[in-house]
Amino acid sequence: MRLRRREILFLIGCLLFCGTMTAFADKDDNLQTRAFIDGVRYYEAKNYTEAVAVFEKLVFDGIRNGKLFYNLGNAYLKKGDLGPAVLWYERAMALISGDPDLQFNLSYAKSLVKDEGGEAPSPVFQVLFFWKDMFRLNVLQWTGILLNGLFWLLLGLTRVFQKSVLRSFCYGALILSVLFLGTAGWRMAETKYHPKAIILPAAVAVRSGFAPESTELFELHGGTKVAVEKQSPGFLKIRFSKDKIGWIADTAAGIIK
Amino acid sequence: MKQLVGLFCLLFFFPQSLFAETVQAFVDRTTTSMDTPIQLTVSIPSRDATVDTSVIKDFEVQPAGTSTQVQIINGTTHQEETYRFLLIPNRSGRLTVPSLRVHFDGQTHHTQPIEVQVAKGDNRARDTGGPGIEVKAEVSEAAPFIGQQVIYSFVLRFGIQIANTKYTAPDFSGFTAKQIGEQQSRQRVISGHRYQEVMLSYLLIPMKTGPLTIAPAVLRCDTVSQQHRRSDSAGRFFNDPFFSDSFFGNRQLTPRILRTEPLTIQVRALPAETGQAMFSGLVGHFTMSASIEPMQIKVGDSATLVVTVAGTGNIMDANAPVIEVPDAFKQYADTPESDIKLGSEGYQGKKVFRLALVGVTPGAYQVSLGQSTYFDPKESAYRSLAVSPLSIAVQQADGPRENPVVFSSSENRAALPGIVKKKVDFVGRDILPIKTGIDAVAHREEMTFAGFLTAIVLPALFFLLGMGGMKWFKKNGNPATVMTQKSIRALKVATKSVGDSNAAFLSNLYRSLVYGVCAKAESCSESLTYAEAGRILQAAGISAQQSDRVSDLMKKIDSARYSGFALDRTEKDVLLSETARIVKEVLR
Repeated sequence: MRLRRREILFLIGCLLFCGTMTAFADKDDNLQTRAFIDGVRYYEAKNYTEAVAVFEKLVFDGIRNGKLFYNLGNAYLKKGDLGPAVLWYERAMALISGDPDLQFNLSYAKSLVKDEGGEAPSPVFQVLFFWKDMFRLNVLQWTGILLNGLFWLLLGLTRVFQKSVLRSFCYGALILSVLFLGTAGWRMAETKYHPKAIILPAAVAVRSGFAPESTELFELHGGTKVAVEKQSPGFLKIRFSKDKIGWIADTAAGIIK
Repeated sequence: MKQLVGLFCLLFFFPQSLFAETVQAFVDRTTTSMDTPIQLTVSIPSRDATVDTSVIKDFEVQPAGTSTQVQIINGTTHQEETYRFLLIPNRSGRLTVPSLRVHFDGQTHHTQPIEVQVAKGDNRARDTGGPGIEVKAEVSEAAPFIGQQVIYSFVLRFGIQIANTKYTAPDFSGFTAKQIGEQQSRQRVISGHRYQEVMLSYLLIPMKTGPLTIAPAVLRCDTVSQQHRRSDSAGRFFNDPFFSDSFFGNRQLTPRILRTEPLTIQVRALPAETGQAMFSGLVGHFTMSASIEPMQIKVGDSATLVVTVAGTGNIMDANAPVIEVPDAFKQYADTPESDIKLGSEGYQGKKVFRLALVGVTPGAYQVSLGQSTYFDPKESAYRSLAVSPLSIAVQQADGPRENPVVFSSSENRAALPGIVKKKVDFVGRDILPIKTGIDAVAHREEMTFAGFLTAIVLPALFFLLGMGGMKWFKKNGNPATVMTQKSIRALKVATKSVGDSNAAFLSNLYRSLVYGVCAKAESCSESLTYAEAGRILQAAGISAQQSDRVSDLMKKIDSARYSGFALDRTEKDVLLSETARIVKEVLR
């Protein structure tokens, strides 16, 4: 089979395009690595403002990494911005909750938060669903998916070989997969439909409405965790506790995604 | 005629104009006092309206319920929603309830502003000649020093029946404030009237110097009064004491607001220290005592030095005194123990510091405690906290000693003997360092909800596909099915090759017949003798006559195949149609 000249030129073009794209991707990776190293240097030189700018740029470039979020939390905390520091630590917790450094720093940052109280899950709920926050979300997801796959495989083998021992394993896999998948789904739905947010400025007035002249109901301080009840353009309806609900500007709180 | 038309128009339009959709706001009175709230009513000709009361600044607004009224006039339904609010004046003077924005049916309407004259209130409310209700606030010290404990007391005294009380404590700005215990109640007789007195106390510690004002404490309540009995003829019927019971709602509640007078406190700075001793930071009245037990030990044995600081004031801030221990001792400090209570005079109690001394070198020694001062606000002077040096003698031990037993607080005693356990406390606070590995810039893709659901559903689909496939293979692996399909296929090929050579055409016809017979026998075979075909068909329940026809057709095809005669198109068509018919009958 002989290729025509036009087809050969098209193939060469495709190869060149792919090569260029790969080169651009590599170049992007290199730039991000270099920027990250710069950020670390700024941090170590106690230039926290620059470190925040560099780490934040990496996040805005689309990198989602718990360690990067942790570094951003550290840089903000050293800079003296408690609210954003807690926000980035919380975001890191969603990805690397088992990291002891993160747990230590978040605990320290929370100890600096001025507002006491807030909403805590009921003790009954904590006892009945103790496993809910025990694992990272992706661990729950993948364990559930693998168990689900195992269940269907065992179900197929049970149908073929008709062995009762396989049926027992099948039921076991089903129960475990429902448990893990249900918990993962619950966590994902919670993040999507009942998100939590962190107050960013040092102090923010929570009002009864959108208008600046609306009654100031209470005041919250940087780093305080609240539940987001409703999102309107430019505003968030937040709940600090059962009896403390109001509106704030959406720039005054960062949602933990 | 014109008059009739005019009358009709009047009758037609009058009810319409009467119920024109307007928003109205009105108050139950336009003159009130600081201690009497007014009721604001907003009437709206629609449901699901929102009334923006955030613009009301001169009053505190409390929702007091809504009601709906539906009227049907001339067949037209008119609905009116009424929103009620309780307005509590924030100050006296001419106050305004501004124009309120009311939003309903996609439109915003405005009410008319209302002016209300508010007179200065009284912290007392009293019916003519009878006992009343009053509130007052007082502090134990009008000119305290910074850090001095001050007791703030709120007293509610009432000789009439009250209900729905709601107390709002003042904002103790400039103080640290803590409520002392629960409220205390007692009964008193004043001017021949019996009063109930309720008192609430707070401990205040001024945090800055200068004048500090404690805003009024506010008490909201409803005074309960009996309604007058009916005097008309119908009312006399109900004048039975049975109907006077509160169950029949003859109680009348009147909302009242009582405010205490604001209190101004002049907070004084502590005077300059004059002595040599260091100021301990304590403000109040304190004493210090110290002891060593035992006072004689042997080398390797331990004695316990106990220093107790006790008194009234900020005792929790007391630090361990400076203790000068000779080098002849090893020393182990224990966790301080506190026994502090918040009482009617503020914080009082004691703090105990213990130091274990282990004798190392024999001899007679003195342990002295550094002198410090505290500020006594009653005397307006600094007072010394000091104790005389304590003596202790260390004697030569009888033999070698290891792991001396030293005193430890109750929480650490389990670890004895031998080692003084200490709770690990932070001596400095900082965060742990950042992550420097470049894996921190690796993007971690998270699973989307759709991906998650797909991953769950996919194995189920595979399972269903697998089951379906198995079923299909099971069905299609049957020899009868295979042979039937092969027979039909061979017949089709023969039909197509009717114009081709004899060999291909006849061969396909023959195969179609053989496969058809095999399908009946549920066995796979490529060739059969005529006798075998007959036996198979008869065994399968085909009549002998039909079996013979199949055998005959097979012979006919065979003879045509191997005779060498070329069949013309008509002969081929006849043979094809006969074969097709017989195959169809066999496979039926």
